[in-house]
Amino acid sequence: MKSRKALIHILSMLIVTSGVFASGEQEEEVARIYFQHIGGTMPAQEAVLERMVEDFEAENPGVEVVIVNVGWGEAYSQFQSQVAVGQAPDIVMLAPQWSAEYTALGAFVPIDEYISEDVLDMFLPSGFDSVRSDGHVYGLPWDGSIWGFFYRKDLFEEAGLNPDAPPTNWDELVEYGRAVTSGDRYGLAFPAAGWEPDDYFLPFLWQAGNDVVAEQGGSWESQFDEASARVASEYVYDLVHEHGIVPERVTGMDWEATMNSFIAGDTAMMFNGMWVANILKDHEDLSGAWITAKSPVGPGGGAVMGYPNVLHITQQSENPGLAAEFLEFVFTQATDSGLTYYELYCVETGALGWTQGFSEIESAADPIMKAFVDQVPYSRSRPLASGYEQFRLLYFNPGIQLLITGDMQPDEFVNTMHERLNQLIGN
Amino acid sequence: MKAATLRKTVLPYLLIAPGLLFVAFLLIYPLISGVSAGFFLQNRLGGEREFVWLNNYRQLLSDDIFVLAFKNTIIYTVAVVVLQYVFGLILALFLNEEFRGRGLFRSLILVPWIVPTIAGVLSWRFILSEQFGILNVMLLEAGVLSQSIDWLGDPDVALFSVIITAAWKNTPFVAVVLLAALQGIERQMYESALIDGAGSVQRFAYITLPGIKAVSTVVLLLTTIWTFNQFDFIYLMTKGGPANATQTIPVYTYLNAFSFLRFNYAAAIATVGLLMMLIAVVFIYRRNEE
Repeated sequence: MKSRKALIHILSMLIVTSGVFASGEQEEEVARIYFQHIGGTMPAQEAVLERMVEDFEAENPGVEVVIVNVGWGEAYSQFQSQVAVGQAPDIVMLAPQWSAEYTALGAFVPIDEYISEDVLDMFLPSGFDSVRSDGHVYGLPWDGSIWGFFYRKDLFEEAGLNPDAPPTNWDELVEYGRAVTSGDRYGLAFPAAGWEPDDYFLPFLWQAGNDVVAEQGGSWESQFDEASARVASEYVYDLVHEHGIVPERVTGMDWEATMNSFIAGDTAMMFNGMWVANILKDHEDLSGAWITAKSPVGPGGGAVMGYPNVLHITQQSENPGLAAEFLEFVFTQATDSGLTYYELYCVETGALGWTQGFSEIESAADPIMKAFVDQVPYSRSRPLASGYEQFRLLYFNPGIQLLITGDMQPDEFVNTMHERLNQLIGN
Repeated sequence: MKAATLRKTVLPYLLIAPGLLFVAFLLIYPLISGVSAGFFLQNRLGGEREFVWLNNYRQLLSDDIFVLAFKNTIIYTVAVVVLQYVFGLILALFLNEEFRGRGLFRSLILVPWIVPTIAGVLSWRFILSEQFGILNVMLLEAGVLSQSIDWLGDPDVALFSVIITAAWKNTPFVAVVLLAALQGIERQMYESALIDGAGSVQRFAYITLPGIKAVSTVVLLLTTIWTFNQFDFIYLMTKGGPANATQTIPVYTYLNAFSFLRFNYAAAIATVGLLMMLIAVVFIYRRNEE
């Protein structure tokens, strides 16, 4: 009896171990690509990602694509840790200011050596701003956002303004703002709490003709000492303190609080991120009462904050060729809907595709989306100078908040920002 | 040496060795590693570490945000600890009295301490909202304010708002612990004092306070350490703003480590924080011994 039991045990072990070895052999044949994606909280977006992976794997037997979702909060530091210990994923999604930093540190392969010229030509040139170096491009544009202008048509009408004629320049913004400001209602608001103020202040600088930083002879220089920076700073200061159309309280309002104020009718016009449009659309009681428009232009022309996130193939990837094949598949392969996986991903995410043809797809023609799509050609990203992130969090945003509360005058503001920015960008 | 003597001297050490090793692995190594990181400079992609002596600490002296964070941390810690202790003691004294529904009240009082920090923060952000917050509505209705206050957006008020809300969060802990201490004081002492003609202030000063002194030291020690190191509450509430008005050492350490990836500089900031904490702990112990 005992020997029979022993025999059964031995046979079981043999079966188990042979299974392990067999599966081990199979695993060796699988080529795996790790795609580190920021997100994972939107089911529709997840569904598109899963579908593109399944279809690519079906077309490429022996290849497995693993999507690793990370949150925005930890994406930057997690990639840093991965690179430091030699465990970087094959493909990584990053915000453009991080892309610029890691491109300078040599963390990515030149993607133009792996991706065909036809595919590269599909994109809007501004999508490569953060990843151009040494005559190469080191990443591909992914989903994009625009920070735009919204206004309440019903409140315009109430104030005797034409609801179909939004302000088109700075002077009109003040004029319209004065007309709709009354009692507890302010003409204009934008998020200026936490780390958001520069998203809304930078466009004023750009619209005044200021570039914030400029690269000269291989090093970065602050442009805050130019007259245009003073013009923008005085304009924003006056919106609050001279014209009284922006409340000081915006320093405590994030994008959500600004949106709520707009919904409540306490704010007639606002600058906010384009993702807000999708939330506002769900408020049926507001249907037809609001619309988006191009941001008013300043003395230096039109400019808005807007950029795509970026996909890179990392230097540590063991399969850069295969990773590139996957990316080409995503950007060129059409789905049943006629859209490419990339376009479908952007539509489901409520984002903009940074390709030449994205403005022609049906969802981009939607009147609310159109204002954003039309501004893509002159959208700009945050300055890409190393040290800008530190400047932004420690000095720029606090400075903008002090300007708004009146604790700092425009002159002091531009002088302080100029000095701080030059200190942090290495001059 | 006899075997019995040897066993007596060596065995205790052998028995505590696993525990000591465990503590060394979990506490001492990270502590040494963290402190020593402040003396180095390392490439962000994990290159060679360069020994830079006190350079990171020298930089701290000329870093105005660090100086501001240092000052804010002291104000924040002292204010929150004092408020927690005073209100915790008042609550404990109240709950130590006999009244109907005392059991229910003792349970309800724990709610702020039990709710997750994020839920507490979101509720407070809503309460303190300049536009929609109930606090402004109540104060305006009562005629206390003539115009609403931007509790979290005004740099002059934000630190005060964060102090009040942080004190609210941990006051129940102080109240419960002090209540336990109060219940340990014998009733006869109060009765004897009453017979001797002692008033309520004298009873409080000469019986209650000495009776809860030892527990108070522990409570003050714990709340000082927790408050000093508090990161989540401030970060979720204001992210250190507006205009750096609520910037504290833990938030500034986090920013340097995980937003600017200046790990060595962050280690230097954290080490200064550790030293400040040690000074506070020694001070509290000394006061208690006196």
